[in-house]
Amino acid sequence: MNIMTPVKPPMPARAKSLSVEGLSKSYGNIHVLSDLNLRVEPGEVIAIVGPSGAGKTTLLRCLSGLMPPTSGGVKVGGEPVREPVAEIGLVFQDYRGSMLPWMRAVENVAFPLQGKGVPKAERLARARACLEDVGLPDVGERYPWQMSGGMQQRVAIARAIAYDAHILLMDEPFGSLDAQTRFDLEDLVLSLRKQLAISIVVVTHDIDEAVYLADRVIVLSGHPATVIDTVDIELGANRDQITTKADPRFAQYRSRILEQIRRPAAA
Amino acid sequence: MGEGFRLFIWQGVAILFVVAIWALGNVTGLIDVAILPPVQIVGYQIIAVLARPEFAAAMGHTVFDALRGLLIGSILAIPAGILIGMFPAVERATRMLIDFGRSFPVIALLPILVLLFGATSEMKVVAIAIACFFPVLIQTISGARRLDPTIVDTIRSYRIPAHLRFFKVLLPAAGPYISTGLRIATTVSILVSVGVEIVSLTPGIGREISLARSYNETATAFAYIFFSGLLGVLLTFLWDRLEARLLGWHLRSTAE
Amino acid sequence: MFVRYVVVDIVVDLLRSIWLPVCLVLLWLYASSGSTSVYFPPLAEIFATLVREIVHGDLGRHLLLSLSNLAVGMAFAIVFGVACGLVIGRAETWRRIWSPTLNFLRAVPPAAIVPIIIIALGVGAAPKIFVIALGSFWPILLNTIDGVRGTSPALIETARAYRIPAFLFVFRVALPAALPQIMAGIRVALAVGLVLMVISEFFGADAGIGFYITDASTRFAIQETWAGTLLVGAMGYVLSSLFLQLERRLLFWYFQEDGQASSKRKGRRNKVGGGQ
Ligand SMILES: Nc1ncnc2c1ncn2[C@@H]1O[C@H](COP(=O)(O)OP(=O)(O)O)[C@@H](O)[C@H]1O
Ligand SMILES: [Mg+2]
Repeated sequence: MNIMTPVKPPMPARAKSLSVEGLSKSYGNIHVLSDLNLRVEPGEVIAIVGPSGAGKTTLLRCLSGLMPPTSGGVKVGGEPVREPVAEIGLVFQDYRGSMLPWMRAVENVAFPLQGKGVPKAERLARARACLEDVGLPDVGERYPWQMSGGMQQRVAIARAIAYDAHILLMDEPFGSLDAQTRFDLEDLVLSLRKQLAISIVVVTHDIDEAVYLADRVIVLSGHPATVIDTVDIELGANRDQITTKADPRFAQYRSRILEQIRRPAAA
Repeated sequence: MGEGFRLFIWQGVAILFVVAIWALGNVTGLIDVAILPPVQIVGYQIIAVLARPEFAAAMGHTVFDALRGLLIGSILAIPAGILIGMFPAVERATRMLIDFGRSFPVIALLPILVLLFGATSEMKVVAIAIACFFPVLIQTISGARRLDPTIVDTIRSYRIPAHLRFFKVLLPAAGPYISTGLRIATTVSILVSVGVEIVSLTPGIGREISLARSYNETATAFAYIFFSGLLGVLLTFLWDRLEARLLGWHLRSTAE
Repeated sequence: MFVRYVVVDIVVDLLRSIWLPVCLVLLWLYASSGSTSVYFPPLAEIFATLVREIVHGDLGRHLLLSLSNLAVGMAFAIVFGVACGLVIGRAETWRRIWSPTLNFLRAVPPAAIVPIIIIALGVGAAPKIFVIALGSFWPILLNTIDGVRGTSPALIETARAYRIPAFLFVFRVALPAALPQIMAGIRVALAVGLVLMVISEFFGADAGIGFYITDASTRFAIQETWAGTLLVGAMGYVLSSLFLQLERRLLFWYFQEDGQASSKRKGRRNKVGGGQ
């Protein structure tokens, strides 16, 4: 579908694509999503932007298998997703709520591995390594409530990585963090993507964030929401907060998306 | 509408299920009739006791004494609680006493109370008042302590005098907590009332239970137990209603 | 130097919280010292009786017996209350269907069944344990249901997204999440259990602290009555203090979190109130 291919590291053999075919979702008689189609190739970063209440969270919940779509379907590597699958790691916006407060950071990261039956020593070691990957080498013994929001969200990312997910779904992951922390975490996402060759779907209402992170931005809008635009972001693989955001193309993408989002509201 | 009705039916089925288990236990002999008499006999007695002259009197005694004890206990507890809550030093000094009092099983005082007052309604009211005092006190203290710091600062910066502070700020602010305390105390008052009557044979439902049991009329005892449970349900229900009215502002302001 | 300040701090701290109780006890000691009233013997004599009865009499044995009934009864109530609560709390339809029945059953004063059970089942430990277990069961059950229902949806979603298997979910997610409420329920149940322990020994019993008190009072042994009563009070205080310690230990994360931001949860605790 999408021919834009920045320089990517070699894919692990097991990496799978995520595809959405004719997905619609209604809550009772409220139609939230209508006939969405999209495909996420291994290693790709996709951002989904849309105004608040557009149905972004709903879409992500359908993608992850937490919620069945009303019609249409989601497939991971060709297999239909009905319940949460092992290939997908989820990072919630509500980082406070998604951490178990009675477990230390390292236990929180290791917990899903316990569910997979990984032996204790191994899962703790893996959890520590993943905490290091997200830039938290020494906070493993802390409890969530002893960490800042940014740190907790890093732990949540470490948990997804430790789980060995190769598709990361993130729902407005940095929405409630301060600007500086948000930039740091955006850079973390970019570096993880390079290091680990995972695909990432990030939902956001922040257009700058979407353009900065993604290879492709999908604009959702309307009631019910449909894909009103798909923008390929050709800013290369090496991005940084200062030069990338100062790039004139960045501003062009930004205003194009903004226009798309605001149009239905004005009409 | 239809949904609610279905639920109602199923709730009825749940009750019938319990009754059916009971009947089955009787029929198969798995439940000793000395402990749980046949369900139909208890059912009959529930109707029959209503016609007894002592029934209304017993209900009246239990409820009236419970309310008297509740009233006395709360009238003492609310001002005491606010005063204690206002001054951290007092709170510290009284904490141990309060912890002692709240964990004391009032029923254990009964032999002494009977020695002091005799097996009278007054004795019962004293026991109930003591039992109701502590939950109200504890809730009131936490209400008075939880005063929003911004409100505290506002009061201080406008130099509101003490009596106004007590009646116009502390009391209403502690209202929701006091109400929780009163709700707990209402339940406690009935429990203690019945408990004291059972042990000391002061007039009330508890006494009827004890007497029925000692005449070997277990089914009658269960009929009275049924009504004591009904009383508890009724009081909780009434309290919920009252609370919703009194504390409208609180429910609204905390609704998220 | 520093150590000395710390010691002084601790002492001052202690004084601040015990001066009033100490003063009251001293006042009682002093006021009752010359008492000739039959009903208010001198406190000093009550203490002397208490010590004598524990050291030379069998007050200690009575106390231990009562405590063991309480412990066994509570253990049953906790196991069954928490287990049933976890199940009912997860199944919303079931909870709604059973709620009128449960609300009625828990409103029955537990003391009311004491005469029937005790007289029917005799003087042994079993009927007392049964009564304690039954009375303590309801607050634990209802609080567990509340706790399970109050578990944050975000946690449940997380567990589902990471495919946490059922048994891990129950023991590492659902149970800890409901634990603040469960502990609050057990605290209430402990008070109920204590009352039932005493009442059940008022009826046909030949041992136990409750028996000791009534027996003394019917013999008009006023000092023994007071001594036993004070001992029950001390026991209640010690038990609830120990429980509080345990609660702080187990729920360190809850109280920590509470200190931080989420004071919303605070109000959820202890809806089912009322020991006695
Ligand atoms: N469980 C639900 N039941 C009914 N309506 C819902 C539910 N969840 C979300 N909605 C509605 O669906 C729409 C999309 O919600 P959501 O996916 O959360 O939007 P977004 O994440 O883009 O802000 C909103 O109008 C919201 O009110
Ligand atoms: Mg959302």
